[in-house]
Amino acid sequence: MKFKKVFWKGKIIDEWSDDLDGIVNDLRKGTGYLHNLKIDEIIDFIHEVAESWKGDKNFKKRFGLYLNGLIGFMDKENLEIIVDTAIRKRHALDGFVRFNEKPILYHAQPRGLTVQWIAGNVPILGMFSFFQALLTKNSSLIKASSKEYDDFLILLESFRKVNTKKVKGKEILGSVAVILVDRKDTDTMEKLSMAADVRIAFGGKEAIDSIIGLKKRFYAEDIIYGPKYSYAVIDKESLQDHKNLAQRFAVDVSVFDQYACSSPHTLFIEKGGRIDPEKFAEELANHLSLVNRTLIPKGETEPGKVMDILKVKTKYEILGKVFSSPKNEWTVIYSDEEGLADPCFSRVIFVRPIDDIYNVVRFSDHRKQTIGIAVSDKRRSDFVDKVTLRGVDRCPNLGNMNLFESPWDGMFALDRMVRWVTTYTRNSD
Amino acid sequence: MIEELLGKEPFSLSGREKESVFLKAMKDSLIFHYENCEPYRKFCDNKKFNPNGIFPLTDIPFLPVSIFKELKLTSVPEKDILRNIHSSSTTSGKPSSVYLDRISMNRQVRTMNSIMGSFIGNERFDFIFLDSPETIRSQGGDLSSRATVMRSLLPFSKKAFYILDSNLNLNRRSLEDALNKIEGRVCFYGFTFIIYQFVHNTDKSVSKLFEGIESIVLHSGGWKKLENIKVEKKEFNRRVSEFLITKPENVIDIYGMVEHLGVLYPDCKYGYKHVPVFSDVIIRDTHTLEPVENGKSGFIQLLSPIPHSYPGVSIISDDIGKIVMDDGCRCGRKGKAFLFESRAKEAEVRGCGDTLKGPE
Repeated sequence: MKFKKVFWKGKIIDEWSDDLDGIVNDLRKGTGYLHNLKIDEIIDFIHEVAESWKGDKNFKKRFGLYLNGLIGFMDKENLEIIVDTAIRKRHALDGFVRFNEKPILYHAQPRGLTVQWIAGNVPILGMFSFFQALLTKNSSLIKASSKEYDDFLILLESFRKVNTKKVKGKEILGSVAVILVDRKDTDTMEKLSMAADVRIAFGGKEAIDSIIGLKKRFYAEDIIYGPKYSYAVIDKESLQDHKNLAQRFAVDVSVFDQYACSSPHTLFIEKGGRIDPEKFAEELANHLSLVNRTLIPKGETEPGKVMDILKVKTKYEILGKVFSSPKNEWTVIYSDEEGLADPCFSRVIFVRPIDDIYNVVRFSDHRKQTIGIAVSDKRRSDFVDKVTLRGVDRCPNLGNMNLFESPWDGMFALDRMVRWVTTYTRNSD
Repeated sequence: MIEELLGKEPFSLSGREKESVFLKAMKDSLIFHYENCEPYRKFCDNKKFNPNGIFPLTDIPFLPVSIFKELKLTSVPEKDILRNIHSSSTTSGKPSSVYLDRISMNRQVRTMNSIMGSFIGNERFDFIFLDSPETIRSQGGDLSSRATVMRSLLPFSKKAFYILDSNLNLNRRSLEDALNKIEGRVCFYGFTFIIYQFVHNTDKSVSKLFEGIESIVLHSGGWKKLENIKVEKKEFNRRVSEFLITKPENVIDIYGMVEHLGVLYPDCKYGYKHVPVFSDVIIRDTHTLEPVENGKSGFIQLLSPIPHSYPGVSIISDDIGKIVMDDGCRCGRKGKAFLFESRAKEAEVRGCGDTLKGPE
């Protein structure tokens, strides 16, 4: 079966191909170039790419707030911390290092070829897995979503113009290819899967299930992001700062239009605070309006989704209280129902009062990724311990729910992308 | 005012002539539901809509038809409910339910007879239903939407025959019995997809049995399943007319929905659906939900003062259509005409958060 090459040898192209083996072989050769680079040189290069984006007005206009998130991640100091945290000593990526007094030496070798299935819902997130493959000196064969891939290619192509003392952007791009594959083309999907030393997949349940079901090599590592649900909790003490919280949470709801795993769908507010939960819902509505006007304007909503939103809104115009924009850009639904709301996506947030923040612990399991929290110090660590013990992966502050960090989904992806190999100092016997 | 409307011929008024009488009837109905259905009152209040005020039709808030799957909405006491009509199949798996009292049922019969009379005339037909006899039976007061339409057609029948078995396959004996007993013109009726299945799955030799019969074919129930298998209306009409041996223009699609009580929209011979005096149609932009001008496609909003026992007076679905004229169809029917075009596609982008249901 044929597939489409859309990024190859550092350039955006549009070419049908049936030579997957050829691509795989070339990418494996590309790992040779990466292996000869030091981790600090790769970090410097990524940092320089971010610097080039900072000065690009067109990029700022096209990617808006999302670019800031990426640039923050690509900052040299941030990358050093991320790699050191996941790998323990980042120079273990360059050669054998000692971790302790024992004569054993450790080295993090790349696994080889990562095959990455990037979802259409949040394509820009694919950059994070690509960077992590690069930092661990693995090559990347990326199966993009045929619905949304332009932004991803534009970001990738910009690497060509960036060169540091040791790294040439063009050479780096020799280790990455982006292809489109018809989702019914199980032969090509299976081939992709069998070529992978690391399989990385983002997406909804249907997409993830189909990828997990593909045959793979027994030693291939899987890094599965999603599908997961996220929500948020505010305790009564934190409501002292309600204006700031509403402002920050409005950003959490608006970024990615709630299509990311880290996007909140339900907000629980503990009763008895400075303002009533319903009042907070109204305040959140004002901030969603502001964010839509000034920070993250919402694009056109699909007709099917417009109807989904109308259905939910109408139900709660009867059963609860609805605050919404006239043209469906955002919707706040307040009701005193218990439990997590079915997600509607597209900036529809359900606000529900609770008597005690600990009542949400029972909603926490392995299908929940992020709980955005505004919880006072006296209960904070105990609350976080309880929900994470049950399966939740992250508890960032409100406003930071969608900030990509490592670990993600409960794992250090960098660590999974390497093989830990060992040897011993001479005369260690 | 509703009674006055019911007394009129269905396609006797131009848009301008209908405007004031229809709005008054809508207002009477809206006030009734506002006063007698608490959830509906809450909905109107949340929409800041006061039915006692002055408003154009476009300001009347609309309920998505799916709300009748989610909530039991009634405007009369429980004891007055005589029948529950439910849709036969839905994408979500939940059927829509509307609850009828005697007033609603009477109005339904009058409007349906009046509309269908305009299309198939007053002369009675022998009806051959492409359905099973079990379908039409009420089960504890419950009726499916298929049964509702079939029952509404019975007043136009001299004799009625049901030629499918309970699995919706041809019952050859029933067909032969029907063909032995029919005398004059025949009207076939079935749900769109059931007719398609019948034509597609039945042995071609059966078609010969329909030779020499003067017939029309009515069908309703929607195009979703046929859209999924990429069968368009023209192709459907060709296949059905070939099999049942009639002209393609005698295959008439009827648009309607369970929630829009008593109002059906058959195609006229020019392929348009006409809006009778008992209802109105507004097309709304698929992004902003604002009304659009004639000729532009959008969601179809249906308004009608006919429902008495439930507040389905202004509803909207994910059907897409467009108004083709305010008046002046060559078929002679006065008033607005529209086309049904498709159903809105389900939202394509799927989020990660859709994981609440199913095993962990």
